[in-house]
Amino acid sequence: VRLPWKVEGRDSAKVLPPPEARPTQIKTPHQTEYFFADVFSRSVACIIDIVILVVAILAAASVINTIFGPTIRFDRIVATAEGSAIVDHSLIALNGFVATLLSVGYFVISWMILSASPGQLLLALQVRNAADGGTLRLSRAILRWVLLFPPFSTAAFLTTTVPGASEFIWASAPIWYLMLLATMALSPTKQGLHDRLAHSIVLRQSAHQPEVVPDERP
Amino acid sequence: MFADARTVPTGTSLEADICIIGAGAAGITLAREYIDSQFRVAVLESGDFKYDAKTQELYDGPIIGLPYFPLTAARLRYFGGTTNHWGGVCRRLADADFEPRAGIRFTGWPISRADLEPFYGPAADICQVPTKEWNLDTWLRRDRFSALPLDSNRIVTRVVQLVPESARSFDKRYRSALRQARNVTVYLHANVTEVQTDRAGTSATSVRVATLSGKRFFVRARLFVLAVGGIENPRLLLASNERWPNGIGNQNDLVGRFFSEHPRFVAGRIVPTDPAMDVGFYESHNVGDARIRAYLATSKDIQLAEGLLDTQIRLTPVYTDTFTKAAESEEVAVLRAALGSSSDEPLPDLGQHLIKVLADLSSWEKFCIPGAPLPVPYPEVIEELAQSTHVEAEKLIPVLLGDIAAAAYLEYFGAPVKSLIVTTRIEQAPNPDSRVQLIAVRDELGMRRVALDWRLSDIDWRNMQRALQILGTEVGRTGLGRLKILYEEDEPNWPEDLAGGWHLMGTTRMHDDPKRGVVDRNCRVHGMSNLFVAGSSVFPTAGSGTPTLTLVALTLRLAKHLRGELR
Repeated sequence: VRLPWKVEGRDSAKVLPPPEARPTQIKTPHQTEYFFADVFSRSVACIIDIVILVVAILAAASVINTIFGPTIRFDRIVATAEGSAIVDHSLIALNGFVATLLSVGYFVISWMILSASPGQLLLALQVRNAADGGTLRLSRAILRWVLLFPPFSTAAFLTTTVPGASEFIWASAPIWYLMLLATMALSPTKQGLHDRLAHSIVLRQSAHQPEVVPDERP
Repeated sequence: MFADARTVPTGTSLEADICIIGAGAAGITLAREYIDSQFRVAVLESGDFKYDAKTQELYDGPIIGLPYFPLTAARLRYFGGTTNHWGGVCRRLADADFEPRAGIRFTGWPISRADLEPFYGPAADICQVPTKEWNLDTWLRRDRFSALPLDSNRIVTRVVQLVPESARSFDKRYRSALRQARNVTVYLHANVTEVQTDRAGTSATSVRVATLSGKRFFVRARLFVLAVGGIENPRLLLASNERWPNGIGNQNDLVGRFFSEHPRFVAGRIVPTDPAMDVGFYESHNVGDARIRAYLATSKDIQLAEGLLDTQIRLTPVYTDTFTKAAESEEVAVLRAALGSSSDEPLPDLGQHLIKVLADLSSWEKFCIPGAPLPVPYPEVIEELAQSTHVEAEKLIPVLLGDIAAAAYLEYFGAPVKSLIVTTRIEQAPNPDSRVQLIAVRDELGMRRVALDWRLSDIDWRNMQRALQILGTEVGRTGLGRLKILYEEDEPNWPEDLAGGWHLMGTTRMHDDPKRGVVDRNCRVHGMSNLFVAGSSVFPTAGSGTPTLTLVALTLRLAKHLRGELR
């Protein structure tokens, strides 16, 4: 990825705003500096997002439960005597659809409107288009979601009739995330594989106290 | 080295310093002790390296007493002997097991536990016992399970160790060492049909050997050791009647008498007060690298005070149906076999079984919402678990997580208990009427077969009942539950499920007095200068534990004694 911004040092990864936006002689009172977001803060933001999303999905499942009845029915006698529970497959499909919709909406919309998911906002992170520093376009946002949150559970569910397929999918999930973390950590711009493919970059913003500089212009 | 007795010309007389008859646990242990020594050792083994029906049939004989396993099934007649299908359960005899009991005749050993103590460690190595740790408190400190809180002055918990299945066979373990031994020759297909003595009948001079192929020869030696098990040892002595019409060592009509077993049967059932009762310690489970199991027994103090023999009380938990189904499921059996913990047999249809195992491992998926970034269970699943008691939640484990996860949970944490089946295994009181005796029918080699007349006595019945009464009192007193004793009649009424423990003991019992024993404290046959017996047939009494570790320790002690004899 070729960044049009000046990068001061490879390791410090300090990023300044684009040249045309950067003041030349007088620092503004609220100048913001951007850094490549580190792996740790991005992981924490991801965990926060997942917790929020899980709560939302559970809430949606509760609503579905209230409206359409339970997806899983436990009869204590049946459960203890035969080791079975009654499953409503149409409600499973509905739950899956709603959960996927919530997941897509949560990330894609927040990336496009706020340039950050709620978890990223809390940690002052921003997801930007690597090419021009702007917000992500819809296609890039969806691609990033697919790459970052590949719907393992949906894929696993859809392949339950294929012996071994869902187990393979679940087993590959940790490997996938380890690969993303590794590529993020090794990248000088902290772009994981998903960032490279979606042409995105994650920045951490840092507001500095204004520095008083005398105006020496005639 | 190994030799085929079928290649030895008829009429040959082979020479050795020690002639060991039988290559089972005792025979192999003894032979190993002389590898690379200055002594020439001949081991005479009836079988080959694998089971042969025709050879095994030489064991056949009628059961004329209490029902017992067919004599052709109770032991194995080939190299390695019964270790080839041994259960691998090991425990040392306790001090009290060697002591006489007031009011019970013929009890007590001429040696003490201290005499065997130096040999138990090496015996554990030979038997491949996982550790040399036998202290209950040590095991409890290491274990995730705990012992039942019973008064240890009345009912004690004891631990047995289980030898891994792959390490049990003495054939697999020691064949190579014996093959390489230049001073030890193991003759396969060599059936000893008679021990011959000098004219005075006080010294064995040779043994007569026959093969099923028709060869006949002799082995002469300075010392002879019979190590062919609790039925064949007396059979061989009784059949050796050239000088002694009643058999060698049988001047007092003791050879073959006092046949003893570990009678076992289901004697009761405990209904626990709390289904969450922790009984995992009493089931086979792993603690570190060792596999152990515990059982209950009457305490030494109670035994000596009340003149009781030892009684082993096995507790078999009956778990809720889902766990029982899970533990017995095909998926779990396949996984256990694949991990080598239950079988050495190759897996049939591995591909098909693998699919079943994978499907079972993913049972939890249907309880999670698809599309969530993580496996998130449905609200009703969370609610069900939140509203359940600990026991109810445990019952749902097989439903939610599948059979394999449930079996693993059962193995490591236990599960809700419906009841506990109480199986007693008692130390049989010495009974001269319980015996092995020759019959007129002869086997293919012309040797008289034996009949087994296993008998139990009133003492055994009372012993079992008293042990259960003590247990019942303790279970009630501690609030653990209620014990229903199945047999409360005063007169013996041995149940249909009465069985032995596949332990054949007592038929050449040890006693310093020739009128009360066949062999002396050094396992020498009374009246004979150079004929010895190895194995559990010399046990005067046997505690309630398994005999293999003790018989190997006793054989090591015999080996040490024989070194002195040979010098």
